[in-house]
Amino acid sequence: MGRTRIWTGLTSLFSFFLVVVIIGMNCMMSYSGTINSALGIATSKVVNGKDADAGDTEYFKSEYGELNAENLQKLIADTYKQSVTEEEEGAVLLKNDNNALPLTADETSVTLFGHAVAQPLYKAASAGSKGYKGEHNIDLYSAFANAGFQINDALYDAYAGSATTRGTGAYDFVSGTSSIWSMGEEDISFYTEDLRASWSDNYNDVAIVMLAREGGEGMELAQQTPDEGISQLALTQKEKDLLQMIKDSKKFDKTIVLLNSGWAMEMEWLDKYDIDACLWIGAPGQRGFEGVANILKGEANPSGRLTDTYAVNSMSAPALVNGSFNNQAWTNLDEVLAASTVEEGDLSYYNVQAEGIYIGYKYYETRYEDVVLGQGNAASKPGSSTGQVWNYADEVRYPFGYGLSYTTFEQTLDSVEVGEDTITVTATVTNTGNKAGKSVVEVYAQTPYGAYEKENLVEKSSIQLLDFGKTGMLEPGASETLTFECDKYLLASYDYVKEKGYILSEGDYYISIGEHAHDALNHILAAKGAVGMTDIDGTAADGDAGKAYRFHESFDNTKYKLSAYTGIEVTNQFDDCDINYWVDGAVTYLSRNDWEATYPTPVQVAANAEMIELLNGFYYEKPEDAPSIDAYIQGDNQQIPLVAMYGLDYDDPQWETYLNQYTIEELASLTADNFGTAEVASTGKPAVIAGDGPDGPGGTFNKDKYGDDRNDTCFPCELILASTFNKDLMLRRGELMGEEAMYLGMAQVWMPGANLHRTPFSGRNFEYYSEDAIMTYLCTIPEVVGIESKGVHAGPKHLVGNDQENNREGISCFFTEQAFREGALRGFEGALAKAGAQTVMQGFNRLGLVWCSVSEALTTDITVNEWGFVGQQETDAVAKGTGYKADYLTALSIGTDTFCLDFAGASSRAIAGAIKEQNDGYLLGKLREATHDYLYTVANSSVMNGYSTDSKVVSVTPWWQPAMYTAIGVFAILSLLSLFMLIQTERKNIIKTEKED
Amino acid sequence: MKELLAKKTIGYYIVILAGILGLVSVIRFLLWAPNHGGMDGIIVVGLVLGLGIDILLIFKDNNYFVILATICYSVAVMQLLTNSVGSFVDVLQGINMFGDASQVGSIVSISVVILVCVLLSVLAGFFKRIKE
Repeated sequence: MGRTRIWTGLTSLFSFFLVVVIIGMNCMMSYSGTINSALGIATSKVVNGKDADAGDTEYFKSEYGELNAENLQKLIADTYKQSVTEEEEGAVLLKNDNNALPLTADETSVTLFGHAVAQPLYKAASAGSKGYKGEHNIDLYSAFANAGFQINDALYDAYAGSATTRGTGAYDFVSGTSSIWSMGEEDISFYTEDLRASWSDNYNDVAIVMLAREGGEGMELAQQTPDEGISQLALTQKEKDLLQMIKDSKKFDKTIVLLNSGWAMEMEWLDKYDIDACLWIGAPGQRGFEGVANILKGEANPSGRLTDTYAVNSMSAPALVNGSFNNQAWTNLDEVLAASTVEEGDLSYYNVQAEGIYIGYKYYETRYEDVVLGQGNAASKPGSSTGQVWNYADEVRYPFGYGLSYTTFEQTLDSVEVGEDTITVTATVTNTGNKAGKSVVEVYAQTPYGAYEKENLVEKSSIQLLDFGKTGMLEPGASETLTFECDKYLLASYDYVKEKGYILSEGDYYISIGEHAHDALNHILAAKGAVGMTDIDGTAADGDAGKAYRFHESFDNTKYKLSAYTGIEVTNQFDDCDINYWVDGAVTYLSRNDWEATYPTPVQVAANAEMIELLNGFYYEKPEDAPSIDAYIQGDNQQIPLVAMYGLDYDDPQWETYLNQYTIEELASLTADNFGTAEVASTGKPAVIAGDGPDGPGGTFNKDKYGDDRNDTCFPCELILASTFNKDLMLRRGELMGEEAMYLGMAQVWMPGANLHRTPFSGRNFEYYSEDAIMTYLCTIPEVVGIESKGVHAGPKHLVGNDQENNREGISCFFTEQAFREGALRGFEGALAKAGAQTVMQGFNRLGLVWCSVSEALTTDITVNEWGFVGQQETDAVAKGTGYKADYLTALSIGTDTFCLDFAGASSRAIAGAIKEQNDGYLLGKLREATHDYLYTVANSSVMNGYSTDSKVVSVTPWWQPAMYTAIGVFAILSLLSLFMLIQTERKNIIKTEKED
Repeated sequence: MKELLAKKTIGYYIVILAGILGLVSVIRFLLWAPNHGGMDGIIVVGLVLGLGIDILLIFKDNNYFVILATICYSVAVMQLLTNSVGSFVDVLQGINMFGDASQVGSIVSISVVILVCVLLSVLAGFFKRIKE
């Protein structure tokens, strides 16, 4: 009987393992793309014919020459150098009393304060490079030590050994929440007498305090922290205690604060605690701290400028009334959910963007001008942080475009020439100080706000960025003249009420330069003859009319009536994204015509039956006149490889012949993007890998090919790049990331991030450029051009309106078409229409009631028809394959091409199944269009390097697949063997028992 | 009953324990899954069958039932874990996108209990369940 137990147990055991490997293999096959990517396995290879003359198959050339180990090292060195330069030029000096910075040669003995010095924020949780995690990362301590600072190790080691941890978004099994929420600062009791003694006699030349703020993908910053109930962007009590302790010690000659944050903080505390200087350093990536050390030592002169307004009170942004954590749920939510066919979170919330165009400085500066000019009830209480009359100095600490230098500059507006399509501005910068440095020239404009605009709800910001540029390194006394060719189109306003198109308003226009947006506005006000202006600290300011230029334009509703990119008429596409379209009078949008009467309030509405139907999605129905699937040729293999399509126009008839080679299943297999797609060997389509940014493509180099398996470089966060105000650096970042992508074998990279900092709390502000749409527009262009120049396709994300992380999946965004076109859409317009990005990733959110990826207005009317976009449009991650994001058929039918992170190929099965079951030739046509869009980008990418029309794409089976099949076979045999032995043993036992009986 | 138990040995009690934990698993899963999009017929069938077989084993000893119970619980736990890959990815990435990171605690706790059922079922195979 003993043997029976052994075989029973072994059969159970082997059966368990068999189940594990069978179900595990099934799962692994679903995630095969991810596994192959993680293991660095290419599932196809190129085999060239022996006799054919392949010619030059290097369609896109690396600037470093052949892709090899030696040249990779040169590229890596350049990315590290670029990272340091970006940090040096992007960090913003906010305060520098008595020239506390740079530190002198004698000021090298320092104590680093703040837990963040031991837990720096290199980047917040998101996609992109993981280079900051490896041995090639340089942390704050190392950067400072390498720069020659003597660091108080006793305190640093205490921080490093402390259990205190800043909330990182990692899942916490103890609390059961998705983030251990913690500001990560030490309690004052942490600083024991022994620790305090460590800086009593030594390491007290300078106290360097680093404060960090962290959000991330899916993690909005808190408007009310769980512990103190204050804004996460305000100074916490522990941070106050720390600064007070340093001040009270009276040991330090200087106190320097570093803001390690990708978000604009509240800074009213900066005038307390005897702080001498403050430098915002963003999230510096894996090499940026070297740049920070260089700035402190004076080896680099800071020249960064803020791309966000630093409000005194981060809650004062009108966008927060209904945005971020103040989203509303439908007042009849129970009814909505009862009628819902998708998941609860997918349709419960909405954000009525009652702020209209007034985001960031466009709010604060416009209201300021109206206060100065005494118009629009601007000085009323609504929106005031003090509860008193609205006063600029009470609301803004640092305006957009602000930033100090170690030297001083004088800027003059030399000339402005207003042409038909461009405005040519020249400005001269002279270094009037005693240190070499770079300076930023910010060109601003004001357009008229008159009776027509008031009557037709055309809102105007009192100041808007028009262009920017940066000088080279100017020695003391040296000058440089910069010339800007500004696009007049950026002065047009979208009139969604009367003209339903862009207009140039009638009246006086102003062009000005300034140290920042507020400065430029004061110059314009001076040119207007206004009085009562104030500087950012509330002191009286005169402005300089000489830095402003006035010209007059007549009303023009024709100049921009047609798209500059395609010639199609530009007209309203988003009427149903105004909540008033659905619920009459639901919202009054903020208007400078009357700030008091229109300041936003929470908008609460119920969803009616028609709205609920739209919220549920799944709109596609086979058209009555849909052809049969036989209308298209399928599987007609002409032995035409994809590389034969390289360089052909999108509309070349050869594409149809090429697509005819695909079966329906093969076409559908390409809709499921898993950071790349598998090969289709029969049509010469290789396996393709995609990267995901925006601070690096995200991958590891192939050691076998290039002798190095480190991660691609984690550059400083995109916000730092924008803050350089240096288009050359933006272009170069794009080029270098394109080069990295070539080494990583990527056809495309999902970057840059082009959403807006609609509020200071959005979890991903660190990886978007700015609160300002034009700044975003101007930044995307050079970066995208740089990436695309390498045969790697830039895919800006997330089109569009994905401006917050709270409720990001499925939230309904309501807005005016003016705000949308001049705001959220503008950055993508720059990337797609101006810079030529050939891929784009859509947003999780809804435009009105409709998911971005099923919005025909977005995917077809705007992106393709108005902007002339040719290429691949992809959803954001549909990984779960459930809820509103599973609406594959509608998405495909209106122009969406591929589905991001569709691990298991749910979209492919759904689409192929629907086409065949319904004999739906219309949808098959759409599938062919989607495949055409996608393969057009692949064919014209650097992954085609090495392929000739003589080449064959050969499938390569990843090693783990035979390994798993072997395991299945082994355990199947063991299970059957042990089962057989069990049966045999039992039979013998029965015979034995019968004999005994 | 006393007479019944008098003939039983450790393997029998392991089966009973596996059955109790199987019941706990069914209840935990059915309470959790419908509210978090985790409902899966294969898991439910696996757990219910495993539990049913364990109940059968209380009254009728059979080596093949022990093996079947192991397979049922194994299928259930593997299906649950592979269904939850997205949530585990979210935990590793520190984001909430592919699954639901906040549910990983529940997923792991349910899975651990089912895995114990598997372990007990395997052990029950190796041990005597009735006195010979």
